[in-house]
Amino acid sequence: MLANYNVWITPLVAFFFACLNVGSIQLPMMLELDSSLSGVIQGSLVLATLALHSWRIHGKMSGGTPAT
Amino acid sequence: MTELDLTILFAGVVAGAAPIVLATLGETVTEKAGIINLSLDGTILLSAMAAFVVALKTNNILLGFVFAAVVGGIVAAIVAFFSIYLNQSQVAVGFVLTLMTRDLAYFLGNSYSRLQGPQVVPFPVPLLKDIPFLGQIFFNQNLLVYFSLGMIVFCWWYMYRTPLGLQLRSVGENPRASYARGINPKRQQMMYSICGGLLVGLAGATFSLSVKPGWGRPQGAEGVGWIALVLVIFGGWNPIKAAMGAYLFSFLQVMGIYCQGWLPTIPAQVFQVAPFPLMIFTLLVMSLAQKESVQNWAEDHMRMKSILAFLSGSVPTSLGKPFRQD
Repeated sequence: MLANYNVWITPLVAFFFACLNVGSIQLPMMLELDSSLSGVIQGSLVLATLALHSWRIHGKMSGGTPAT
Repeated sequence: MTELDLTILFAGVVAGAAPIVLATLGETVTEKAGIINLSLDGTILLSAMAAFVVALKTNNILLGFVFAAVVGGIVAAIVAFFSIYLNQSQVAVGFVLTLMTRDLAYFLGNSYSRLQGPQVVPFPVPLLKDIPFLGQIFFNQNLLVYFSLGMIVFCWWYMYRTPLGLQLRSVGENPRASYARGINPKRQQMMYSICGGLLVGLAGATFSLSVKPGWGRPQGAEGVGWIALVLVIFGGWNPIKAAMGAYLFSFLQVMGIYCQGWLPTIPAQVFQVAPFPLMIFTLLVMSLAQKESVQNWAEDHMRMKSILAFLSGSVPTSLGKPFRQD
């Protein structure tokens, strides 16, 4: 969904989420933040993408200018 | 060896089942309206954390419960909004929210971990608590237990005995027909999702302020949300049957504690985990009971036939299928 079914974007998205997962281990040590923050960011990103995806489809269906 | 006192055993079952009953009833209401709120597990943790922190900061338990209910309502509203108005998969959004709210609870509640805070005090009902056996089980509990018991009856009565309950069921079964009758399915689904979310939020608060007082990582409520989802199916989307499933699960959990004393050679973790596969096994048995061959076999066995008839339930026809106003 995040890659919008584009196979070339998939590795980039996977890389980004891998960075979040690896970075979450460093969070307590470097910034003294709980490692679960990475999960919150991931969830927020997925929800935001879903909302954006819906908005684009809604834009196309209503004949307006869809977001790109 | 641990002695088995039936009064203590069943009182423990009733007390421990209160949050599971509330979460199960909340999900039953939501699913009856046609929306699957898969985020229960995370919502329970987030509302448990919110209830504990608010109660600790304000020294007001009631405020903790209100805040937890609002948190549950907000998460349920997000699931419903994404499904009803953004046409997104309820399962995908619910699953993402499960993980997100769980991590959010751990992140925000990190600094409140392992602190001593307020908790709900017992509230024995005068006279009723003196009834032999039953009095100690049902009337020597706290207000949350009475509330959960009352909610079982209220949910059943509301769903099956009121015109509004009929509207709720019609929206979950056939939203197009409801729309033709002048009911707004989207508004109804949104409203009942939030109502269900409020109950799930209260379930979380019941954990951190009563059943397992305090906040920590792990809190002890992990996995209960998934069990509540299973119990809705176990109960065939009927609040009374679903609540009975919650008491069965609680019974298995309490028996696990007793078994630790009886069988010390078996690791304690086995008894802590056992209720979960046992519930899955029960669900499997119930699923097999729906098969035509089993139904045919039960035709010749009257007792089995009545048991199967009691256990059977029908899925709301439009469950998980958002209403499209073409």
